[in-house]
Amino acid sequence: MNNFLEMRKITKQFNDNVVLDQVDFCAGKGQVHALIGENGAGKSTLMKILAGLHMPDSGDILIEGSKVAINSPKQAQELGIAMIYQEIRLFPDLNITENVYIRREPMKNPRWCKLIDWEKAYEDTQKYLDYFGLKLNPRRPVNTLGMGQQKFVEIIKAVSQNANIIIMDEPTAALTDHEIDILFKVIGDLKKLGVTIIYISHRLEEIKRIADQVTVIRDGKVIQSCSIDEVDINGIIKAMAGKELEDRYPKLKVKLGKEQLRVEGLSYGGKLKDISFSIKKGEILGITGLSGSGRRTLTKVLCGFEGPYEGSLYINGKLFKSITPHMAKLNGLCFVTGIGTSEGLITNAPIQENVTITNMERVSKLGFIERTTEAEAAKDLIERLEIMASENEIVNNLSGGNQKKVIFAKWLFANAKILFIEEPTAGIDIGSKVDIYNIINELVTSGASVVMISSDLSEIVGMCDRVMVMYNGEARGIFNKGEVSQEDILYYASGGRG
Amino acid sequence: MKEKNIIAKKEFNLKSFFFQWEWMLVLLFVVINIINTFLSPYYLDPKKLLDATMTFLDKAFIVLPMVFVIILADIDISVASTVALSAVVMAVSYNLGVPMALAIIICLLVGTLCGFLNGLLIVKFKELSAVIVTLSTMIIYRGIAYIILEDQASGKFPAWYKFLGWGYVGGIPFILIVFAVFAVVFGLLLHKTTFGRRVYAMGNNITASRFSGIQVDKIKVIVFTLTGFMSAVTALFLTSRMGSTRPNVASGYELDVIAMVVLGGISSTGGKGKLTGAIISIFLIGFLRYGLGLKNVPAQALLIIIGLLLIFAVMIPNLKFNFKKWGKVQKTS
Ligand SMILES: Nc1ncnc2c1ncn2[C@@H]1O[C@H](COP(=O)(O)OP(=O)(O)OP(=O)(O)O)[C@@H](O)[C@H]1O
Ligand SMILES: [Mg+2]
Repeated sequence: MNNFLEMRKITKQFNDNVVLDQVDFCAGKGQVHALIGENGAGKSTLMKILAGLHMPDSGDILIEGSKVAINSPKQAQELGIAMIYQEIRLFPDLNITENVYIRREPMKNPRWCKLIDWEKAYEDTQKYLDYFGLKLNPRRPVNTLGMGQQKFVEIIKAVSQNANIIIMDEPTAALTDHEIDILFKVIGDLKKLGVTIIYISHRLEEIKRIADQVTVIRDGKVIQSCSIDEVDINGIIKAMAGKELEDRYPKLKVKLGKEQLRVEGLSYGGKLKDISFSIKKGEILGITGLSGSGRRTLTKVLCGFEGPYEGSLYINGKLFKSITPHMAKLNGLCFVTGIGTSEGLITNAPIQENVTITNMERVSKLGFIERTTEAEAAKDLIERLEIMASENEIVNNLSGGNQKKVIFAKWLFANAKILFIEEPTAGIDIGSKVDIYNIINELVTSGASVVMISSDLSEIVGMCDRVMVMYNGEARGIFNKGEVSQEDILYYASGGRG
Repeated sequence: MKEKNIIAKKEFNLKSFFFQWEWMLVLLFVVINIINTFLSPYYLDPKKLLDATMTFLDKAFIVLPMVFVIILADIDISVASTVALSAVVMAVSYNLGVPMALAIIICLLVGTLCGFLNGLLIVKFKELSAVIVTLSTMIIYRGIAYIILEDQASGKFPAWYKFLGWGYVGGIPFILIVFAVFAVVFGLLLHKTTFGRRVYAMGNNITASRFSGIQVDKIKVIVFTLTGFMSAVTALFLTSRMGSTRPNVASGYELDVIAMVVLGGISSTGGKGKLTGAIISIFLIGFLRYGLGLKNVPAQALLIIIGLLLIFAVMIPNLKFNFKKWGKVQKTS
């Protein structure tokens, strides 16, 4: 097989920690090459080397058989390499078009005038938006978009560069099934144009669907690299984790207690319309819907980050006519945010400080922080969640999946009683997903209640006692476990009525 | 298999310990003292050096809370006006018959109130940045001071009040002792308490801080209020030293204070820096000014030197980065 791209014996160390050890990686023209492995295996690092963000300690990169030097993202871009990063890297106050064309705006003639041809930029962006089936105005500021839509802006940004290698680092982590279908259609089109796609994901079903080739890495070494027809999912899982996987959704039967949260007729600025639901101690409620359906807004309103709302909110029977984040926290309500945004972590602070930030009183006396107690607390959680780093490691240096676990750790530390968990397992490897579910189980058995805001329907069906489906700011129905299938949920989520 | 991947615990690294900005400042401080000694044979007299601190420590009180403000990635340029307003109100109320002790308390209250107002405006009107808000209050506070005193001097304080700016306790200037106490308190507050931790968190990432349940508005208001209070403390010492006050006192202090903070390695983008850095730079600039004064070097020359130091301070993180890259190139080639 002739390889369009070849990475040879790539080695990369971060302060004495060998992250990539003589990795060989090849990808053919017009192929989708899946790159998989556990959290922290080195997938993102390998691809960041290709995209010019990191320099390898040793090793070569060849494109069409000739050696290339990639020292900066700009050089990578010139070689036709585009990368969609695991985390969203848009400028929140700029609009969609400005983000898509940043640093490569189309120019008006004569070019030396350096006048940006905004008309063309908006027109082209509109074309891409239409092509992706997104009903969005290209002038809309990015910070008004939902997570999935922001991801699509990133994808458009990469695709519009006419690159011949596109790296996608967990693009579907925050996408709904419908959006994933759109993405896959686009990937199909790109393939026909001869674009090579390197696709990182923890969702193995997807890989089976679109990939031609698979490379599995573990602990910075390639374990397996072959064509997709030669492997089966269980084989991959085994290669990834080095062990077999038991039950994927370890749902427990928990005795439900009294009502902890009740929402009645909640409306908010046209974005939420007359929503009512309640949740009992020990219960897991799933909330799902397409992006833009208001799931996230609902959570933000209930936790006090947006408002004021109309309607009533009862926490443990107490009525709240309005709420602030501080009040929410005092009453045990918390929002476990997803990764890939700036909301979750203080990325240049150590794990320890990120974990205790939600409840510093627990590790301090008279306002003075006791650093040893703090370190102990962080170490406990690191062990419990199997985060692969020490407590004084800067969060920025962690892999995406480990960052996600740190977010979990900080809210476990806060002893929250009602947890709204956004995309609990997005970006988490298959083996650790079960660990996260077990933590959720532990939470509910110890008397907490959990609201899972998730796009992963099999997770929703597998783990939740009840599911609320949202569409366009409305609750389209609340269903008990076993009453609905994934197809039904999809039907309601896309606007269907019962 | 998993253990292997755990990032090695960071050991105490001697090289990175000494390659901190604070040590550069210490080095610079020593260099300046050596130069000063060469320039003037009278320089290294301990008694004179201690006295010298009395001339520049008044504004140092504002440096302490300003470190907090700048770590929050904000700025407060109204501090000098706050000094003027609280000094003027104190002088006027004393001359209207209010007992001096009470006048001092009034002074502290006025400063605190000014700071509180700044904080309140900044958190209530999110569209306005701290620069804009404090620029406006800078003009307003100074304006009020002028209305109250109409470009006159006011003074004739009781004799004991002079002690603040001129007194000694056991041979050490009183102002130095008070400053040391405040420095320790602010140092503990910033580096050891939950409050300080929250300030750093907010400076690094305000969104994440908010989503972690930190009461960001409350902390901002407290920091600005503290700044107002410490500006009033400066007013007390400054007025005592000068013996009287005018509406135009302390003009330009805000720039001096901010310069000291930035030179101290506290990044204006927020979230970084230590209080010690700012404290060293207070003495660095102070002694530099004193030494050059002994040699009758014009004040303008000093401004140029401080300006150059500031550019150097802002540049140093980038310099460090280049060193590293350069090292790598050397190795691979
Ligand atoms: N800038 C950095 N400095 C230090 N260590 C780093 C840095 N970037 C990554 N690492 C470490 O390298 C290892 C591999 O990280 P990488 O992000 O490549 O993992 P990944 O395979 O993408 O995992 P995930 O599925 O969780 O995203 C991790 O142990 C991580 O802590
Ligand atoms: Mg990754």
